[in-house]
Amino acid sequence: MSKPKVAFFDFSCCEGCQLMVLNCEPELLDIFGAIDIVNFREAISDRGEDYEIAFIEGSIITPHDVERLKKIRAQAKVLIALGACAHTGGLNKLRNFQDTEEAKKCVYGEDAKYFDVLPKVLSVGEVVPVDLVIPGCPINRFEFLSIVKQVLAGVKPSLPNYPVCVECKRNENECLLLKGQICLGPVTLAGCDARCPNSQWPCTGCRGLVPSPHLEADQIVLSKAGLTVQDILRRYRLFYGYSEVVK
Amino acid sequence: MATKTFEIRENYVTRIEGHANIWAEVKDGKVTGCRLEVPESPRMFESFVRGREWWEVHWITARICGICNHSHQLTSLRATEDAFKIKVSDQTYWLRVLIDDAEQLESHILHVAYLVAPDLFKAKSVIPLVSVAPEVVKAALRLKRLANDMFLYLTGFEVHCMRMCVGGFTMYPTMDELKKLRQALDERMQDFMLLADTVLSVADRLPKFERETEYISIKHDKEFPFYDGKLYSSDTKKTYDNSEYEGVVNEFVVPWSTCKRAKHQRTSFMVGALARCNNNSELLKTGLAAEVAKKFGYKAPAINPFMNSVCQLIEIALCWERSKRLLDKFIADGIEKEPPVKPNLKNAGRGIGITEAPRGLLIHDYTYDKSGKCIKANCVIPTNLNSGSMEDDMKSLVPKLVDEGKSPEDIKFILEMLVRAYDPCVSCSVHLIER
Repeated sequence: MSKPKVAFFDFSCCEGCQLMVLNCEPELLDIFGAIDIVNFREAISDRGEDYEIAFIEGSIITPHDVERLKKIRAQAKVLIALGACAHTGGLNKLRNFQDTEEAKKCVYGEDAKYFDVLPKVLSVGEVVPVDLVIPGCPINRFEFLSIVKQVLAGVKPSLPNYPVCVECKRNENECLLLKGQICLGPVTLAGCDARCPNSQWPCTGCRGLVPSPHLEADQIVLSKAGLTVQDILRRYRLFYGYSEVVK
Repeated sequence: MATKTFEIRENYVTRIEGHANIWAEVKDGKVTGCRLEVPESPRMFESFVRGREWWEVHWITARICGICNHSHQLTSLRATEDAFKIKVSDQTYWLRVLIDDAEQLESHILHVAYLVAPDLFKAKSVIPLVSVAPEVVKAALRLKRLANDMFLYLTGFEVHCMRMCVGGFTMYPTMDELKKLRQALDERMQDFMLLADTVLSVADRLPKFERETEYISIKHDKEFPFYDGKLYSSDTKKTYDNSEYEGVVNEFVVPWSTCKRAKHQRTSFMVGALARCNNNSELLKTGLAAEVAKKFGYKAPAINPFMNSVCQLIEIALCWERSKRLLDKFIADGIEKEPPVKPNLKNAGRGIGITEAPRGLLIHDYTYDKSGKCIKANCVIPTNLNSGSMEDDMKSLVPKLVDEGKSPEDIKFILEMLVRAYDPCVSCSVHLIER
């Protein structure tokens, strides 16, 4: 059986999710053995265009990005959004709550005219159909390995359908909300093993909202902690910029 | 001769972080054009960080870059702490020095073993090297894991960690974890020597090319500086206060390029491992770093940009020994679970943080209002600072290669090697412009 041909493509992001793939040091040689990586610009110089599986990292920010992504979609049998920027648009969507022209001026001053950016930052799924997502900022490498194995075995992987709190409780962490910290664990999709609360840092929602989140209840909890509607929106906008709840 | 007229174009140079194109044009043996282009999409961090609160700004700006994320966090924390006049404890200071050493280790190992070594072995990536030199590749993987384990225990995660916060840490490593890291540094030593010797065996394949230029880095008189030091120029031989940084880096836009440039005393200057070693060479006179420098024949000031990878190996040696020393100290003294120092919002103002990311000088500059919200941000990124130097090297190197009768393919390969030698990190794209 020939090995499946796999490509990694990066759009606008920090490339930290590709780095998390390279950070699978103990498994990396097995990965190279099981798949044929034909395109992975950050790590290899070959550039094959005959891939079947495409991992897409990053958000879609320029008209050129849109065209490039559409070409990849036309080639790939399976297209996987790798990490928050591809999955939801990630933190890049903070720009969608600002006036684009003003934002450009803020960063580049009079040279802003050199830019050609889309009026809104888009996720991969807002441009082309996506077959699978691996959420997180950055991704969880164990979840990445598990999803890769399932795809290679022809099984359709599924993500958890419960919030980060479930994993956090399982890890016996002290609840940060009870300690007065603003944690978005109750409404955020699990699968990260609650890695932020494990380190006493509140969940900021990087994996996106859990299916059917109890947002009213969450907002009551957050307002009890002294947050105004504006404060709550600011928290939600960090990573929920893709969702209706922050509009 | 027909071959004396040609064009070189390589879009999306591989094995670098982020996107860069190289272009050169030769007519009748004369170089008529030479450019480094950066088509990275603008992400505008400096705009959307406005309105965010003091405690979360480093969490956001770390996401400028996945590879130097710890450097961005450290620089950002220094800027925010400066803005609120926070002084961190000695323990926090030295833990951060240790974390910054881990950052250099991880990034330099990735760069030397995965991105540069394949060129020296004429391979297209690290993958074919697995069958040629499996023990070296496995050693490099173990070395990178060691640096990543330092992150896991000291900061909570490999990329975009959570335990570093304004004023200190949210959580600390256990004694058991410190001992594990200390032991790993002894056990992995032979892996590092194997990597260094392997690079040494092919070091004569690094192109012989010299161009004297200005080297800018931070400088310190006792500890080789990544986390703490004073801005310094090799041309003026002067140190500068943080508040003077804008007069040193002088960012500007050139209409024929796609990326902000910087200049100080000449048309460009160089930052990174080579600049740091040149500017702090008196701290490289003893120990493992001196041994590695001697092996590779590094003597300050070196003016071959391809020596940057050698300087990264010297810095790995230096970080290795300092990490052992700091871990020994923390194991002997124990780590106190200090709560982070809280800012007094009344102190809010402007703050500047200057450190050395693996690929060079990194500056964050924030202004906060009295409610603790960021109202202005500026980030100066090493790859922007180096882009003018890369192009000046190309302009000087291409005529030399043409005179030597090199083929367009060979010239393209050497130019790609040059770009890789600088270890550019183009995703750090806060300033980068798309035309």
